Amino acid sequence: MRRLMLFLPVVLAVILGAILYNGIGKDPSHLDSALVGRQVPDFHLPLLQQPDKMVGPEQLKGKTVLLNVWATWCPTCEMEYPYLMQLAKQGVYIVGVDYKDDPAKAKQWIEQRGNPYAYVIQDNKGTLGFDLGVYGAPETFLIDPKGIVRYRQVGALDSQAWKNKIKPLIDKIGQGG
Amino acid sequence: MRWWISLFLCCWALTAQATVDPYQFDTPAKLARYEHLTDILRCPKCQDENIRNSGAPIAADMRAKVAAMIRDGATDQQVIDALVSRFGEFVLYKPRLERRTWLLWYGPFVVGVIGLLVVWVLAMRGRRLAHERDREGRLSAEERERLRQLLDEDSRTS
Amino acid sequence: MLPEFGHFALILALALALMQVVVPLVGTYTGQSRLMAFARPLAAGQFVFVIFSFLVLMQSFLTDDFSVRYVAENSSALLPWYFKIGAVWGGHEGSLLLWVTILSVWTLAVAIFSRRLPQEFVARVLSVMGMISVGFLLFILLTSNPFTRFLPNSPTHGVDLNPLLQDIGLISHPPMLYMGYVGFSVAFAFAIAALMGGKLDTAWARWSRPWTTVAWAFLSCGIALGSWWAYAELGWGGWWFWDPVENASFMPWLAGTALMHTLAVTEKRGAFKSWTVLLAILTFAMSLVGTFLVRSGVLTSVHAFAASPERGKFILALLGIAVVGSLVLYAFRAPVVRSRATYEGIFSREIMLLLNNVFLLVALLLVLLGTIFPLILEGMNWGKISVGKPFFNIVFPPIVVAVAILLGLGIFSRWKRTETRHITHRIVWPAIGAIVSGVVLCEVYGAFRVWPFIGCAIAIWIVLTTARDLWEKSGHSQGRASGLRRLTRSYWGMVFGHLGLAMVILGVTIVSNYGVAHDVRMGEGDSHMINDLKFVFTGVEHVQGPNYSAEAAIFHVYRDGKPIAVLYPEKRKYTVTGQVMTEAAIDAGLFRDLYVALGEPLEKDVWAVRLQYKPMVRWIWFGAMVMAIGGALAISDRRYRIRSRRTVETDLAGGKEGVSAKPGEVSA
Repeated sequence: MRRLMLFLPVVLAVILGAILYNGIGKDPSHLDSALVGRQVPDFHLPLLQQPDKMVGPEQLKGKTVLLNVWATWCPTCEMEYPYLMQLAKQGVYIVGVDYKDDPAKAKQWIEQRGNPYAYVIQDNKGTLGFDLGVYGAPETFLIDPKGIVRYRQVGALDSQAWKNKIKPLIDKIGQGG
Repeated sequence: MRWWISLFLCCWALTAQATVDPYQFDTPAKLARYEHLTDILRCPKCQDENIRNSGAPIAADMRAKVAAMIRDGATDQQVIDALVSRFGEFVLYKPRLERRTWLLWYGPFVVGVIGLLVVWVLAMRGRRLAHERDREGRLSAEERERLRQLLDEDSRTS
Repeated sequence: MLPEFGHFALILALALALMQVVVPLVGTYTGQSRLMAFARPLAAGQFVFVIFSFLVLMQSFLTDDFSVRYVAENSSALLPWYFKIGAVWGGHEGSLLLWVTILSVWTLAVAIFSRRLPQEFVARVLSVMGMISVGFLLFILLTSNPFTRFLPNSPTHGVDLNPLLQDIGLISHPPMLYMGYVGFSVAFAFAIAALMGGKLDTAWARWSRPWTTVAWAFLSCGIALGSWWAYAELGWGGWWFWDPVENASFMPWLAGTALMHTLAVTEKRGAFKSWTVLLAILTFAMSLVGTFLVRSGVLTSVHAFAASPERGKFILALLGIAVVGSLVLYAFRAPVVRSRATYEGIFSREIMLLLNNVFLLVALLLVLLGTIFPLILEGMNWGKISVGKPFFNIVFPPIVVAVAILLGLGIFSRWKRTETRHITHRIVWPAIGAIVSGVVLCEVYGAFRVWPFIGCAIAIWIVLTTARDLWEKSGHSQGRASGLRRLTRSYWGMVFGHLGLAMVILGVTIVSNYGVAHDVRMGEGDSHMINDLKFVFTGVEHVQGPNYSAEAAIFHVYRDGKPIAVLYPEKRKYTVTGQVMTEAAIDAGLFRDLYVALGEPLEKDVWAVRLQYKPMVRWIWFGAMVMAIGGALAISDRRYRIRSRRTVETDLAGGKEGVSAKPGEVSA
């Protein structure tokens, strides 16, 4: 019996090893959105292209939307941009949120690089971004027709994220899931 | 692929150095609450810093939110809930007491109690053996058994 | 050309380490003394090549050889020479080379200072240490080579050392820390060797003790230096954050402290042998876990080195083999037959020291669990949480209280049996003194509050009980001085160790509870009060450093109109990287620090400033140093001195102090 007890440390060590092994390769700074499964937070902000028109969460309902939070001062956003253009050409409905940015620069940006967005919400002070839990641009949210957040992508949206995470969810939503 | 993205995202929060962000409150109690809350809330994108000391812009935004809510009369719990509802449990440095954290909060304590019990048993056994030894003037039953085992092992190894 | 030699030296060192593992071990199985005798020269040879490699890397830094990638990533031509030396271990690859270098130093030390140990035992010890060397040398050569080059296009300048590392803390903290971490490998090797040989006697404990104590003393210094460095450099005036990497250094310290105490029991009374061996394995395992956590990227930390999954997997494999392997050996070879329970009752010194172990290991478990808990939850897909300062600051103090109270009681305990009366008789005045002092200290520093009272009281309790025991044990017919002189160094080591702990507890308690920090806007001419201190911001001047330019603010501090200090906190911009950094100004005092750090300039001549009053903060690090001095005293005890050849031979002939088994006496 005593001999058996002496094996307890080995068992504990193996468990510890498994826990540590599991952690390798994962990005410890990646956070899942706290909003998944909940409504888009309330906001009241102007559009970039039509500054006197104000929109709110109601605007986002009715169709499946990719809400892309970006800014001209963010280098990764620049890298992500061509892929967004690609997705837009495929018919994906993308709404932009210009986060803590200068509207003039944002307009210039879009003119120079093309416009993948159905429209862009101007979030100068970053209040919508804050309420969305954005902690580092770019971030992209998948919102279903009822206005519920289904997924958040932190960092540039690339084909891997699209294929593995977002597209399957969009399909699921389309089938009523 | 992902690690360099994190690097980019962090490209404006280069150092782990303290940021000084003075806020004024009308009572010292409110200031103390602000300092306490910003001490226990974590910056979601930094490498292990609270929002009090972090230089990241998101930490500055969070500090502003905490200060605004305190000025508006919110309780500590309301402030915490507001930030957790946006950024997740990750931003709380003090894990909530719930089923999934029982192991954390109670585990070591339970192990300690078990340890104390074991020590107690050992101490009492020692005392019992001593009494038996005193009483019998020679080896106690347990010690005789032990002697037998030792002699067995000894004859096996030497 | 030289870096290639450095690289090659490491390969040769690996070859020698492999031989150091195999040859002596074969010798122990075949009983060939000649093979076993190879252990020492092989260890010496390995040392030579490793140190050569280390010096080559250092030379590459000192000569600004930016063709070596590691040098280019961690240095620049403008860097002062002393920081170039520190930069050798400023990054992952170099710090690993430091690790291996220190391991070879310890191995050599064991080879030299083990003349009076049985050859078979030494052969096994050096073989095991060789195994650790092999593991780490492989790790370096396969995944973390510091000598990789940028050829043919070498950069003309380096990217400079991270400004946060450009501090004397960098030069001193890692070497001290590693001396501790790596030093525990000796106790580990001794334990494994004892298990292999099937001979676990009090002699093994006696040999292990000094090695463990030295490693522990170094680790105590290393941790204290790290804390002090963070305090001086990071600008927020904190000295411990319960960051995963900090915890990684604290865990081996807790285990090592427990080990030191239990070795005493095993040596003196032959009790708890199995437990002590297990603890020796655990302590080094904690060192390895620490190494893993810092370099694998599984936890975020400001201290962590650049991580990659490959490196993480490699270290985990190393860790796994070493720990699981040794625990399996332990499970099969540890003595099952119960040691003779020579202790009676809860107040016997044996039992009190065992209680010490229970509390210290609960503390260890708290830190370990708190550190890896986010990993556990994520592994079970139960979400992502953080465990930080608030958690540790709630659960840790009660354990410290338990340890401190136990210390005061245990110091009066006697081996084998202590009458309860013997203890209760002696603790009355210390208890009263502790309570009174606790109240007084609270009042002196501010208001009475429960936790600061408890902290101060237990610190004074430790001091008074230690003093009482000292007074009692130094009583002598020929006078107190004679009595004091007769006390062994070992005893003085204990006294210092415990007093050091009391100092640390006192410092932590007071600075945590009565320290003041204010973030304020200050323009030139403004002043701000903290308690009775007046901080006046008198101006800003421009300063030029060797590799930075800075704005230095001038602060005058007054108490009751009298000038106390002038402080020059700086906002530095480093030339090469353009990085901006704040350099706090500290007026250090024995009983308090004044601390000023600049934030951002808010408007013209208006700055955000953090002003701090830190009472008793230095006692934390002084206390750690006192503890380390205690360790040094303990190992300079007469019985550890190198003895003459004659006494060694007399020992071996059998009879003295249980060196080897007498006929009929079983050693397990």
